[in-house]
Amino acid sequence: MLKAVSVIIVFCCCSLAGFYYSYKLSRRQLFLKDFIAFLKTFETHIRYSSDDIFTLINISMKSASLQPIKEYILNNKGSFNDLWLGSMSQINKQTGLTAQDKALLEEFGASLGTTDGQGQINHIELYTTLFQKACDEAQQELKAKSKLYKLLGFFAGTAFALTVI
Amino acid sequence: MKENKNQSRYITACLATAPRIGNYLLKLPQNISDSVQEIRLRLNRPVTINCSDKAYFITENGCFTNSQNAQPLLTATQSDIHDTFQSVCNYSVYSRQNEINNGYITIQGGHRAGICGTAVVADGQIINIRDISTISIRIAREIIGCSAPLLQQTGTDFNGLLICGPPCSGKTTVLRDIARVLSLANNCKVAVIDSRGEIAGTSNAVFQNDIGMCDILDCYPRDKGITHAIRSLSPDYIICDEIGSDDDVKAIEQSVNSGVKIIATVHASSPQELIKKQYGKALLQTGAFEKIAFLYSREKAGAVKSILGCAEVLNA
Repeated sequence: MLKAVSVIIVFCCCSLAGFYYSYKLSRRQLFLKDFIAFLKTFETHIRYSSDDIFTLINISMKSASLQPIKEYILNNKGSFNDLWLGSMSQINKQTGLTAQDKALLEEFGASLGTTDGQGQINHIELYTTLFQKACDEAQQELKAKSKLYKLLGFFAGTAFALTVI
Repeated sequence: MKENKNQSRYITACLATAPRIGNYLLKLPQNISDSVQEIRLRLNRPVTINCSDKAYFITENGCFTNSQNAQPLLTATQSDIHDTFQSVCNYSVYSRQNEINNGYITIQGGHRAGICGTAVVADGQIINIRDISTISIRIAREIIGCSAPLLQQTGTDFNGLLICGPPCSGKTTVLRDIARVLSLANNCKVAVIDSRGEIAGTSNAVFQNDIGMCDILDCYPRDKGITHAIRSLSPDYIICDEIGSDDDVKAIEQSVNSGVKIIATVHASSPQELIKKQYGKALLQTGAFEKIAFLYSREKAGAVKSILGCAEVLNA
């Protein structure tokens, strides 16, 4: 009886692990898509309203995945650069962002607000391209690995169960 | 005459500087901070606090002195200047580019940060200022009732008033109070062309100074603001600060033709200096100003030295 229960638990754990890693892949892509949408809204507002950076962050960061960044920046005091860097630590680990994604986010924030309007638009366009590239990679990875992780989890669990039985 | 909110205004100005400098400035005794007119940061030189009568420096151990020989004095580093610049721009340089090109940025509280460095010029126009070497934060004061001595002499039924004075003589402070008095006590429709954001001190559409019931055209170029006000606001008075170009003179001429009274300020400490200015004579010849008031210098900020008729100044 105990054997059967432990086999079921291990099988479930392996399968869940597969699903979890697959979910992380989809979260990364979702985060990057949200961030690109933010960049586009931000760019539009810089062109037409030229509001200060805190107002633009407030009105442009709408999606749930970006809320921790927005809340950290708007609820704390200090230079924008420090706030941006601080907000990076608030990003949910489950978003599955890679170290390169995080470095890109930090680089983007370091120059935000520091140049004239045209400079900012060019900066945003450049990073939109870079984030789009990362997003495409995330999508490919999702296509290629999502099923794989799920199946791996499932088969690992099955293999363990068969071995024990 | 009552001066309000001095301490909080000084604190707002201190918070606009780099944190390292701001921490020292916040320790300034209140009797001195109440009279501070300017905080001046010059690259690699001592931080200077200019009051109406003397200048103070800060020693590195946090004491205040008016001797430049006291050592070591707190100096502004490259990083302090950079941080202060980003802070006065509210970390949004793109939204302040026009102001930067004009050499000043109006910050929260209506304070004005003058900047100087190396001009980047294209087609004869300044398109940026790089390598910033000086930032001078001029603290905006609001003195409710400071226009009373002037209005007692001129009355409120004048046909145009030009307020002249040297820098830091309190022209804007007096102008702000006149706007408040006319719009509240006299129930007039007053349009304020706040081209530098100093009169109302607008931040996120909220006025930080008491400007009564005036309509504020914030950050409009003066000439365009005057035209806009005449067309859309049907004002009894148009108020604007620091007339300084031929376009301004033309716009004032237009307001005279529309029957709107103008109250404005200009940098000039005497009738002779006013007339010598390129646009000075033309400004008076528009017929927009029945009375010309001259203020004392920074030692007696806001005090009226003399009030002359337009013809008297033209014949000076």
